Amino acid sequence: MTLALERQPGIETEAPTPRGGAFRKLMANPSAVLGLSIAAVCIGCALFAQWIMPFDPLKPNYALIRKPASALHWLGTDELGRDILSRLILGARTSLSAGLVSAGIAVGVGSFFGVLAGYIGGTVDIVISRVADALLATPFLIVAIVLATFLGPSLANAMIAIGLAAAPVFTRIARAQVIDIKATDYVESARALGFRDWRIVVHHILPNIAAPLIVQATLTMAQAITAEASLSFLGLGEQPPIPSWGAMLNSAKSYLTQAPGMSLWPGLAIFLSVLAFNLIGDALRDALDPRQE
Amino acid sequence: MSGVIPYVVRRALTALPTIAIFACFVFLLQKLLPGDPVLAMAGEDRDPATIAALRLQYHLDDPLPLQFLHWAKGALAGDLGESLRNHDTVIHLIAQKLPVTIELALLSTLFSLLIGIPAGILAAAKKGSVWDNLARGVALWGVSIPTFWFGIVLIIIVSVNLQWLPASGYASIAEDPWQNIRTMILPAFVLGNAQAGILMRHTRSSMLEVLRQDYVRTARAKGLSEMRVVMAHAFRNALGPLVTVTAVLLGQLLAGAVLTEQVFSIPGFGKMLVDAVFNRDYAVVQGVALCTGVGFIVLNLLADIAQLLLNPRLRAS
Repeated sequence: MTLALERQPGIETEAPTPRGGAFRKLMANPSAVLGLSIAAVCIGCALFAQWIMPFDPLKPNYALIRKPASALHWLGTDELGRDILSRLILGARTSLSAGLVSAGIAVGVGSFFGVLAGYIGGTVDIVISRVADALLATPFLIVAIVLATFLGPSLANAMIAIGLAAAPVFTRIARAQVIDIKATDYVESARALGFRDWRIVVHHILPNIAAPLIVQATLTMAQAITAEASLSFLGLGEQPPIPSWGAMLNSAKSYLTQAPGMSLWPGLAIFLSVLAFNLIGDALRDALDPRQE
Repeated sequence: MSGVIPYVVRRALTALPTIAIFACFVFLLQKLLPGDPVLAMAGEDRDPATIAALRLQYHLDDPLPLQFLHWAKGALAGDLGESLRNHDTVIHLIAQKLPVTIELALLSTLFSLLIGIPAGILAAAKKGSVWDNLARGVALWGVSIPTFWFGIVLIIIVSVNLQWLPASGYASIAEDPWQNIRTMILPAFVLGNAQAGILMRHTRSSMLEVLRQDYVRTARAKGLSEMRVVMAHAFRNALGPLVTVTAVLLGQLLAGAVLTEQVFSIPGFGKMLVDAVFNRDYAVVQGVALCTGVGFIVLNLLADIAQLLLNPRLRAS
C-alpha cells in the first residue's frame, strides 16, 4: 500500500526542496564554512580531550597560581595553578554536550507537543498552544534560571531546565507546519487509504517538517551553549572541579586586575562556539528556505 | 477608532488565560523542591502541633487546585511571600529593586535603538554592499557575544586599564545624577549591544520588504532623493513591526539584566534574582518569575495595541 502511494505521480512524500542542492548551497556559503570549521574544532576538543590536553585540568599546582601565558602553559594558569588551556579543552565537552542535550530535549519535547496540537487540533491544540504561549511569555533565560534553581544545581538539571525552556518554540513551529501539511493531498490520500495516524505522522508529516526544525535546532544549540555558560556562571551548572566555560569565567571575575587573561579565554571560547552555531543556523535557513532571505 | 477599543478588550482578554497558566507554572515550581517544606520551616522544632499549625496556615493539606487558588488569591493581593534572607515581603523587595532595572533597561533600549535602527536602514538601503555586510557582521557579533563576558572585557579595558568609568557600584539618579550616569553607561551599552543586533536584523528585513513595494518605486520615479524615499516613504511604513520588536526586546532586557547586574554589581531586579538563587530564597525566585512573566505579557499586549494605532491598514481590517 505504501509503495503504491509513493509511486503515484503528484503524491510526493519528499519535501519540494532538493536536499542535495541545499547541501551544495550550504557548502558554497563562506559563513557556513567558517561556522562549520569552528564547530569542528570545538567538537574535536570535546571528543579527543583526554589525548590533546597538555596537563591534568583538575590537579591544582599551588606553585603556579595565576601565572600568565608561557611556553609551558600557553594560556596561563588559574587561581589553583591549573592549566587554563587544558581546562578550556575539557570545558568544550561540558558546553557542547549541554548544547546538544538541551537542544535534543527542546526538539523532542517541543516537536512532540507541536505535532500533537497540529494533528489532533480542537481542545488538545488549544490547551497545548496556551501552555506554550505561557512559557514563551517569559524570557528564555529567566525560565531556565528559575527551573534550574528549583531542580537543584547540577549539569544534568541545567540541561533539563534549558531544554524545557527552549521547547515551546519548537511546539509553535511544529504545530504551524503540521497544520499546513495536514491539508495536503498526500496526507489526505494516506488517510483515505486507511493508514494509522502514527504512520502518517512518522512517514509523511515528520520528514516534511524537518527543515525548519533543523534550522531552529542549530540556533537553539547556540542559545543553549550561552544559557549553560550563564547558569554555570551563576553556580547552577557544572559543579567544581569539573571545568565549564561559564564557571571558569565566574572564578576569573574575582581576579580582573591581577590576572585579566583568566577571563579572556573562556569568554572567547563561548563567543566562538555560539558564533559558529549562529553562522551554521543562518546559512542552513538560507539553504533550506531561500524565501526567508 | 471605533474598532480599536473592542480589539484592545479582546486582546486583553486573550492575555488573561496566558497569565493564569503562567501563574500555575510558578506555583508548581515549589512542588519541584525535594522534601517537606513544613519540616524545613519548622526547623529544629519538630513538634507535631507546630507542624500541624504550619500545614493549616499554608493550606498544605488542601488538594493542589485549592492550594493554587489560595496562592493566586494572595498573589493578586500583592502577597508573594516573605524572603527567608531579608525577612521582608517579596513585593516590597521587588518594588525597591525594579526602578533600578527599569532605568538600566530604558538606557539599554536607547543604545540599541541608536545602533540597531540606523545600521538596519543602511544595510537595507545598500543591500549587498560592504555596509550591508558590515552591519550584518555587527548584528551577528551582538547576538553571539555573551553579555556577561562582554561586560567583563569592558571592565578590564575601560575601568581597570583606562580608568574612565567605575567598574561597579550604583548611585541613585535622585542622589547623584552624574555618578548614576557614570555607573550605568557600561552596563547599558553591554545590554544594548546584544539587543542592537536583533533590532538591526528586524529593521533590515522590514525595510527590504517595504523597499520592494510599488509606492516606493513610484516615489523614486517621481525623482525624489534616495534619502527622502528611504526615510519618508520606506522607514515610516517599516516602523510598525519595529515597535513590537522593541517592546519584546525591552522584556528580554530583564533576562540580560540578570547577568549584567551581577557583573557590574548593580543592585537591581536581576541581581536580586541571582542573590536569591545563591541563597536558595525560593519565595523571591518565584516572585521574580511571576512579575517578569506578567510584565512581559503586558508589554506584548501594549506593543500589539501600539502597532494597531500606528498602522491604519490593521485598524481597517
